[in-house]
Amino acid sequence: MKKIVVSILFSVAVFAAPQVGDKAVEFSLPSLTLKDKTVKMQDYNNKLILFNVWASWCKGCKKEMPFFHKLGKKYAQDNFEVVAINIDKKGKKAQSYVKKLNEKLGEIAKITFAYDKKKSMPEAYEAKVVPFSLLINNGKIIKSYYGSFKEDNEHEVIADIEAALK
Amino acid sequence: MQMILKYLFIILAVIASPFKLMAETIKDSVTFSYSYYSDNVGVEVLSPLIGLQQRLSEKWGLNASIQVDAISAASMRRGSGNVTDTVIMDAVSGASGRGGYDDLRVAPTVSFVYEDDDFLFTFGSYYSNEVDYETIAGFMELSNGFNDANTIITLGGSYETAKWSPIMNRALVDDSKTQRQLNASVMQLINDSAYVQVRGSYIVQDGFLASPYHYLIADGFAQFDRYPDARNSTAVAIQYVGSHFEDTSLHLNYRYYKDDWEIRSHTLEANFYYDMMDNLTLGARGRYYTQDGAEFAKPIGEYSVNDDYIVSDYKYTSFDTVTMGLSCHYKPGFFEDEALGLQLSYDYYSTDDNSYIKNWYGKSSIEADMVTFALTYDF
Amino acid sequence: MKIALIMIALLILSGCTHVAPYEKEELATQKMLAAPMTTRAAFDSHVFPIREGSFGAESGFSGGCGCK
Repeated sequence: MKKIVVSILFSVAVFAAPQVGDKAVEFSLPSLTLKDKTVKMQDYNNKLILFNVWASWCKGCKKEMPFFHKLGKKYAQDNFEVVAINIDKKGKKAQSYVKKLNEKLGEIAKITFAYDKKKSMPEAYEAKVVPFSLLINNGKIIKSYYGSFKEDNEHEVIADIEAALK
Repeated sequence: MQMILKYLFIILAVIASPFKLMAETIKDSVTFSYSYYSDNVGVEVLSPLIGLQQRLSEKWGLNASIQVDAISAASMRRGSGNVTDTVIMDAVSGASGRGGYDDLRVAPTVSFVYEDDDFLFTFGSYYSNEVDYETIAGFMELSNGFNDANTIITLGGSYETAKWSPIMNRALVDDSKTQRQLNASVMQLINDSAYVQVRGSYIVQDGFLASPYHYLIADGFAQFDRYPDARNSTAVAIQYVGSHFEDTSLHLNYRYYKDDWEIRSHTLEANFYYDMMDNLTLGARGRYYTQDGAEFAKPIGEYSVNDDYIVSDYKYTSFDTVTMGLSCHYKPGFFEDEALGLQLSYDYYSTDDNSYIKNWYGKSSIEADMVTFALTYDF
Repeated sequence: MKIALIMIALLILSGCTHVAPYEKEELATQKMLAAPMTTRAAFDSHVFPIREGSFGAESGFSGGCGCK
């Protein structure tokens, strides 16, 4: 019994996901909000993006969306975008949330939303938490953030964006 | 038991999992709830509660609540009929006439929660005061997740001490009661829509363990209940929760209980929930409970005045109960982020026919209505 | 009884698949909590030990009952 318990607890996963400094994972996903539009990683190869994976069933994910909109607006002229990848089982719930978000903001959110039904992105990055975000500059990962942004750590990503834009 | 605990503590100390335990537990919210119990033997309990959860910092949170039980109990004449002018107290309260109720119990609880990627630690204290009974308890609980929180092990314990101050000026040789409880549970995900949880408790009680108001009237004597001054109990439960059809979940729960009074019980419970809409869930439950009585509980007519132990409380005899109920959980969409939640439930509870119930209450069985209502607002 | 519970537990564990954090959508719903109706569960922990002779191994420890 002791051996069974110990062997279960000591099973180790080999960490092969892209790390900071590596090339970001390629993707080509349907837009969550625009019909017949595809969102591709290669469209951002010459940009600075905040890549975020979120779900409508995750409270922290939804709470940070207004902050992402603020970032998207603030640095729009600096070739910066926020790309938010949704992983809901049903896209309708996520679309309904984005509609409510736009109503709350009083304008269309300055975020590009894509839909990853097969969860290929969190699988490729071996995500241990949802949400997670990556700062990707010219196709290369320069910083990773796990968990949602709150008032006490928003300044961190703002500083990282401004440093990357210099 | 000690060896199992030792291994569990070693495992918890050694493993430092980098994985987030679960969705954040600490949050800012306020809860108002109201619970109501009423039965056919004259007991009515109204129980409002106000609760507050507050994030204090990134890793610390506070939970505080205050619950009030307003208890009404009918005075009834019972027993062999020889006693005609004695007011008989209900099993759960003494008449005190406070605030329009027979008894008023006030119970504040405060706890702190520490949460980080590795584990969740809760500790706190509970206090309860009513006219004839006062309790204070301390408790703590530690949870650690493994393998992306696919397995969660929880250990907890509590220590409670209580003091009786019976009305009617009955002097007790020992008016105190203590309870020490150890809890352990393991939760294991089976797949992305099912999990199983195994829970165990070991409870040690000592002191005055009877009700100071229960007494037996038999031919030739009237004696207050006498029970052993120690009781060791073990309970083990297994729960399965799974969603096999879209928008539904099924909960199956079995608990086995035994103690050194030779009380044995089996509890079987099934709950079914259905998401009627995204923000409205309906539920139905059925619960069956069957108990073998204490070894010292005899048919009522067989007690003698010199028996070591005397029982008049049906709770320590053999009987079955059935509970059936409905529930709903609703989050109005017009509140931002569905911040407001409403819970409502109704259950019908009944025992089978029992001679001790008949002897004490004058009714063959107990039938009760239980209603709960709660409003929670997340900030 | 102990052996039966251990065997059931091992049987269940042997059929388990690993669930990644991003696959927990269903598990995150209210109806999948061990006690979705939290207020009723707390009231059950209060009423059942008073009306019945058993206690313990409940789905959530609320800190005590102070039950007589």
